[in-house]
Amino acid sequence: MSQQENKVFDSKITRRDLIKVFGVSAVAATGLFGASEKAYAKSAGHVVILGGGIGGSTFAKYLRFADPDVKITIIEQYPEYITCPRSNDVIVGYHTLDELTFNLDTVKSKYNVNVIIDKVTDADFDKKTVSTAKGQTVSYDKLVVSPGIDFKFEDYEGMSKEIAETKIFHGYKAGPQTLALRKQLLAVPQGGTAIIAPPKNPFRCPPGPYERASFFAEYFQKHNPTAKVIVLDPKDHFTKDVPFKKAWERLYGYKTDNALIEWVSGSEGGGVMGVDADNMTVETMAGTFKADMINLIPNQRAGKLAQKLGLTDASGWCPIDRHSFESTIQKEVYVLGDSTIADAMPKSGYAANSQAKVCAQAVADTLKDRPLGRAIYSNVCYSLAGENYGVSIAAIYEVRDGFIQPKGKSAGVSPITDKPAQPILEAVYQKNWQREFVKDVFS
Amino acid sequence: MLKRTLLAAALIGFTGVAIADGHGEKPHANPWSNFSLDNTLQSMPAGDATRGQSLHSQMMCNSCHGENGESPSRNYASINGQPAEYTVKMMLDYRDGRRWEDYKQANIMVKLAQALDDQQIADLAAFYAQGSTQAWGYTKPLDQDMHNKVDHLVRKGDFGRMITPCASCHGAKGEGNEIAPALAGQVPEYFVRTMQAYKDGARHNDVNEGMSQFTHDLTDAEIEALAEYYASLNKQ
Repeated sequence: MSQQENKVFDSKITRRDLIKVFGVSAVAATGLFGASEKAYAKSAGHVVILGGGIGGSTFAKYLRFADPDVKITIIEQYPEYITCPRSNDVIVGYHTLDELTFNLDTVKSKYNVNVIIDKVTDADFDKKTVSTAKGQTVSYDKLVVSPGIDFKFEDYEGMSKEIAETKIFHGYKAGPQTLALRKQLLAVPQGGTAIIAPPKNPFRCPPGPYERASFFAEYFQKHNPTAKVIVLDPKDHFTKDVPFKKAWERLYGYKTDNALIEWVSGSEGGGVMGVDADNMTVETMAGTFKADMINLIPNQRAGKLAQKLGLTDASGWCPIDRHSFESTIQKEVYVLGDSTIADAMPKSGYAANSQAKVCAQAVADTLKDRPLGRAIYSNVCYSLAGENYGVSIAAIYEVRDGFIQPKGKSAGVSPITDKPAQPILEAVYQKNWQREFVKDVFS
Repeated sequence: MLKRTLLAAALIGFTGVAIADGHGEKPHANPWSNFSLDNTLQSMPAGDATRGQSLHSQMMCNSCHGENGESPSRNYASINGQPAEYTVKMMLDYRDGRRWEDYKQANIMVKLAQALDDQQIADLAAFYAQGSTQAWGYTKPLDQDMHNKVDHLVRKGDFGRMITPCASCHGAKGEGNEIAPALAGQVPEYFVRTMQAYKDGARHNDVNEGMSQFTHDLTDAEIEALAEYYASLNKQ
């Protein structure tokens, strides 16, 4: 590793340089959550994180908790991050995108993490370096990749990346896609039809399409009561389907003649085979559906960077060691979040956050030659079936028989009760969850 | 009689205090006048305590406020033994945004109140009014000096600071009266939180500052002592 390659850390550092790179807090090098003096030494280990989303940001913060002596760098393409959690709210106007937009400033200054805004183009696992679009080369001792997902447009006749950016939006990466869906929803004519086509398993945010269907129905109920949402599903079951369907019955006349939501299951032929973006039609085994808007959420695989770096297997996802999230394909490279094969854990922001904490401890232990502990993970997902109607799922996970599985009887879904307050309270807890979750990740 | 006292107190007090910056109420919430509050309370349907008891469970009030309204935790208010008018007013205040603490504990109350109709609110109020207060189990004894001081405040008030005796509205034993809540046995942490919210202007769902005007000159030590004093009382 040359000085040139890693100039942030390997050059002789003066007090002024420290302030420049890390902000004033770094100078008090023994600050509460800060790095120790050793973290600025040439000999300190360097952990480089590719991707500053939920997984990457959580990892950086918790690695600092676990190890004050290590150098930490995040390389992230975009200066701002918009959380997918709660982005469905933006489509119907319960939130704005601004409220879901975060950056790495706090993580950088509070936990002494170096942040590089640049696009990673490649990695050399032998030399242990990462290269970027702006021509930087960064050396690492441990590499952490948290690359998110990529879409398989090729699974659908007539679908392409270009159409996904102009006519048939997925809204599964928050940002312009979210706003495009909002625009389309508001433009659905009276008595019109919106189609939501969820992907096959596994995919990011398993309740996402069904929360979205609920929100569309609630929006139509208020503004366009003769319009309808049709969910064309390749599956016969989905997460929280029992409480979701109960909510649809209670709120949107599900399974009646005036239903605002219709759900076509996989065995009923709901799986989408192709689309015609010009005529706004969807081809399924159950027939051709015409709509005013089509929200096709394509089948998925690990993010492009994971594919490029060869961290995926034949399934298209990244195999990992269940106790550390170290790639089983590439030593000293760790993979977090949606792109990993985490067995029973869903591809959720909360799961990525939980995995990042376990992984941070594992990396810190490895750097100090300590034995690894046994991993315990958790997941909590709140969804809204209406603005004041929450449904949730939660579980604690352990590694058992070589797989990540719910521990004991820890897994649970919102029960169906006759108490009207229960879903109202869950909707309030959802807001509290969101507020505390983003704090844990970004501040 | 009580309303006249409150009105007189309000007229004596400094009614010109600016409304705080909206932490305590939803923007554009419609504040009470004596007249509108009186009319609203008069027009509420008669409550049924048996239905109220069932709602107490159906709306999961019991999960925070205890089996019969006696808080099992310092986090929540005890609502047993409250005058029906007080409970009705609080629920309407939550429902209509006069008591509004978005993203705080009160947000739960706002959402639940919005899910209830007037009859249900009256039923719940009847159920709580039927119960009696009980002393809070974790009070800290006051030293004799402080006890005497707050006992004087409660029974005689403080003329110099124009503080009306607490008992003149809240009753000689803290049993409450109409819209003035029972204070006997109230959770001290909730008592302090409420008094501080009145004092710093965050809360103003009281009519014509009928409550908040008395809090501005109280010291923190007095508020804490009053909390312990009332927590240890038990309406007989």
